[in-house]
Formats: sequence, structure tokens, C-alpha cells
Amino acid sequence: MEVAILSNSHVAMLKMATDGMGLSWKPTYFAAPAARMGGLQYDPGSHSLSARRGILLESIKKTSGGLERINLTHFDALILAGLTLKTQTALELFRHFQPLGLRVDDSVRLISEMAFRTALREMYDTTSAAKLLKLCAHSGKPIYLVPSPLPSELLLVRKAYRWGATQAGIRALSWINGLCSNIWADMAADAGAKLVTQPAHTIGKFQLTKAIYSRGAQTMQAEDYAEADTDHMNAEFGRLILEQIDKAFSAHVSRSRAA
Amino acid sequence: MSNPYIGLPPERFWKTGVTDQHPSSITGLYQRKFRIKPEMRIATAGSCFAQHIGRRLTAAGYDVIDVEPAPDGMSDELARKFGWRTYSARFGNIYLAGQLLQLAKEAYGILSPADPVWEKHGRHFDAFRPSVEPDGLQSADEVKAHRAEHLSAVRRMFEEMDLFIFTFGLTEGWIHKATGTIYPSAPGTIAGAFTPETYAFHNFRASEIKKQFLEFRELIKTRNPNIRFLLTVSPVPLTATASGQHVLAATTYSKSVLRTVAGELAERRDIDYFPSYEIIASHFSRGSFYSPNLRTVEPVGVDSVMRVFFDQHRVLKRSSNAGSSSGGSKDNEVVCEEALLEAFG
Repeated sequence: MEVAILSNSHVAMLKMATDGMGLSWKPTYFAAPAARMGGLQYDPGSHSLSARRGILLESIKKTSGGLERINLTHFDALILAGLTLKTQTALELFRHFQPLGLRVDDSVRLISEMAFRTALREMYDTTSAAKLLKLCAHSGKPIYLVPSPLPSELLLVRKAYRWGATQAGIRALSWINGLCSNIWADMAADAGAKLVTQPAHTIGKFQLTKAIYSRGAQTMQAEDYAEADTDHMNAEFGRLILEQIDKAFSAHVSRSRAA
Repeated sequence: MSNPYIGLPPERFWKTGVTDQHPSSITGLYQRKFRIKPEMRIATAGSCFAQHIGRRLTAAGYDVIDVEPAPDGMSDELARKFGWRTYSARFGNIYLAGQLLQLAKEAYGILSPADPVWEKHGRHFDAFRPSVEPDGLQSADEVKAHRAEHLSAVRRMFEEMDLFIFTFGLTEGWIHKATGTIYPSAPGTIAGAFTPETYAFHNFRASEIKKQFLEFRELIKTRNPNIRFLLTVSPVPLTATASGQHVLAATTYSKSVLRTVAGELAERRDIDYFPSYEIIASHFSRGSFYSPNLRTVEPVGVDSVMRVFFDQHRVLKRSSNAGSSSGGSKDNEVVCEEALLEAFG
């Protein structure tokens, strides 16, 4: 079984993990930094996704081992990994607008939970994941959505989340993470894709990824991330995600056989 | 033989001022009373039609203030659904002069309106701006907290603005019988419940409306002495009337009253009147600026109105929306809870 994995900087944890695992399926990685994968276009003539030029084209060539396009006919399944909106983006909204019941700063403007949720969903609909879900639907193949990892627990003590490990701050963060999870689930459901979430045991009590999974995280160029980074996870986390994907494939094969 | 009509300019005569003119190019209809300077901070409020004016002024480069901006990056469509980017504050439509006065008094702690929270299906709504949270809020306390923050922003708006543009919309309203509190929509339409013991219909008379606006003006001028006002009358007919009359008669009555009041108020040096009502609603335009429902104003109508406006108050910067309907699909997206009454017909 051949699987295309479309990703961004989160591809590093998956690639590092692949090397050490004996997967029953063959992954081919197509990745570019940040939101660049959203620049892929569908070419109906070749039934593929491609980039014209620039960093996106160079990146997918490099990560795939030389391929310039994603041939939708060639692959048995497509995985979108890490392309959803980061929790940090929701936190940025939270920095300026807070629901009354989750308020951690009286100087910040109030917003209803519904308005916050709707604003966030609108942001998600502009992400690379949202666009690629539509493009990948041309393949007719099973699509799996692997959301960006929940931030590391180290977020609580970093300046990135200035309310720190206060009770109110933790409650708000849990709420935001829950909101993001619901949105991912809705996105996947709307697109007929399957959501592959990180294993429950990787999530700590504050609804953040346990810190052990962010230590030693490396970039696509195999360099260590700065200490302040709380977005990216290490190869062990990548291995757990690949196991989740493996389980999802097995379930799909079982269902297909039963049908 | 001399008479007072000799030597008057062409626009004073029906034949030259109206019959020989075209609605999309009429001249001489409006002479500004004062100049809107580029640095003037403009606040807008009023009936649905005022939303058009605010947007076009912003597009033309004027400083239309927004004291409660929407979250960065939010689309206009979503922002307006939640009452942002509609007027200079998130107060929803203010159809009545009495509503405006009440808002100002509440903002300055002079009065506390009755029944400020309405319920519907377990959700809670701000009775004075029920449209800004379409799904309501979780509790009455949340409504009150949001309202307190809103009133603080409204105070800031009243004190920062140099020009206040207000569009009179209605004379018909619903009041709390015991206190006279005025609501922008009838209880029970968006939320709440109508009980005849508590609420009553009131069709405000010209004398009342004029008094309300003058009291509002006085209140604001004590805090912002140099403020000026520009008044318009909404050309949008009533969706429904509770007056007991045919809606056409009720509309004509309401608009006549509002036009009379606006005209009398504009006799004051700091108040100007802009004839958007005449451009859209008078038989001069033959109804051509209305949609087939004879109620919604088409973008081309807004274009004509703003052309006359910018003839006197120039366009400061060119954009696709300033004076034309090329961005016009947005002109039809006004938020108008009064239009909800159609559902009850």
C-alpha cells in the first residue's frame, strides 16, 4: 500500500520515526514549510497536485525523493498531517477577546463563546488543511486528517502563554484545545475524511502534549528547535502518530473486507 | 412687477429642479451646511439604511470610528452577523430617537432601562441590541457584563466623535409601560415574550421625537461641545405596522413625521439634513431604486445617494466602494431585525 503524506514542518517527527519502524505500507512525504502546501493546485489532466515553482516545488521534490507532483492515481491513501491551525493561533485570538466564564484578564474585551468558536472555525476554513481536503477529494481515495499536535506542556511556563499555570489560565487553555479538537473533527467529517488524533496517553492533565514528547524535536533540516518552541514534537511522538495511522488503515481494510 | 420667485435658482422650481432632471444625476438637491473635514472623526448610528452610509464614507477615506472593532482577520460577513462593522459601536439598529436618548442616558448612568435581558430557549439576549448575539448568551449576568463593556465604548464614542450621523428609521416602537423604556424590537419577535400588562405599542409623535433628539443633543454637548450632527431619514418602508392602519398609510405617516422632525432640527446651526430619503423614496425616482419588494434599497440607489453626498463632501480616496456599487453586493447585506417581522405576516 502506498500512502502520500502531505505535511509541513511537522513532517520531521514522522520522517525520523519512519526510519526506525517496519511499516506495512510505504509512505512518500510531500512537505513544505509553514502554510505553503496550500499553494498546491489540482491538475485534472494528470490527476495530480502540483506546484509551479519556488520553495513549494523545491520542498516537495526534496522531501519526496525527487517527485514534482502528487499523482493521485498512484497512491492508495492520502494523509494530511499537521496542516491545521495551531492552537497558538486560537491563543492569539484569546489574547484580545475572552468569554466571560473563561476570562483571565479583565482588560481584554469580552466575546461570546459562540462568536469565538465561529471566528476560529472561519480561520480553520482558510488553512492549508481545509484547501487540501477539497483537492484530495479528487483522488477518490481514503483521506486521513492528522491535526497539528497539541502544544507542549512547556507552553504553560513560556511567555507564549502569559497567564501561565494559573487555574483560570489552564481552564481557558483546556477549553481552547477542546474547541480546536471539535473543529478538526467537523472539518474531517465535512470532507468525508477520517480524523487521526494523537493517542490519549500523550496528553497531559492540562490538555497539552506531555513535555517528554517535545524534547529533542528537530526541524526538516535535522536541527534542534529553539527551547522556546512548543509546537513541534520528537521522533517518539512521530512513531506514536504513525502507529495511530496504522490502526486507522487496519480498521479501514477490515471495513472494506467486511463490505 | 416683482415677486419673490423672480431670480430664484432653477432647483427651486419643479420643472427645472425635478421634471428636467434624472434621479441618477440630479443637481442642486443638497447644499452642505458645514464641511466634513478629513480629520473629523465620524460616528454613525440609526436605522438599517445608515449602514450603507457608514460603509461608503469609510470607503471614501473618511475617518468613521469603530470603538468596538471585530477580531482581526474576521470576514465582514461573519463580523456583521455578530453586530460588528455595522455602526460605530456594536449597538445594533437604533430605529427611534427615544432609543438613542435612552442609550446615551444609560451610558452615563442617568437611567437603568427596565427588563434589559430577554430569554429564549434558555439563552439570554440583550433586549436593547438583540441581534448582536444571534444565539444569545449563557446567562443574564453575561448579558450585563457585555452590556457594561459596550456602554463604556459608547461613552468613548460620544466623547471622541466630531460628527454624528444619525438615520431616523421609525416612529412606531414598543415600550415598558411602567417605566417608558423603549425597545428596538417587539418583545417576542427575537427573544422575550410579549405580555400586554408589561409592554405597549407607542407611535411616537413629531413633538416627542424632536424633544428626544434635542435632549440627546444637549446631553452629548455637555461632554462634547463642538459636536455636529448630520441627519437623514431612512427611505426603507415599515415591514409591518402595529398602528391599526394599512402599512402603506402607516409608513407614509412615519416617514412624514420623521422628515418633519429632521427638517425642524436642521434649522439649528450644528445640525445638517441630508436628503437621502427624497432621492430614494420620492416619486421623482419612480421607485427605481427599490428592489421588487419595494422595500430594499438597491445598490444603484445607494450610489445615487452617495453621489449627491460626495458632490458636497468630496471623496478623499478612491476605492472600489466609495461612490459606486462595484462592491455593491455588500450593500444588500444590511442587518435589519425589523425585517424579521415579515415572518409573522
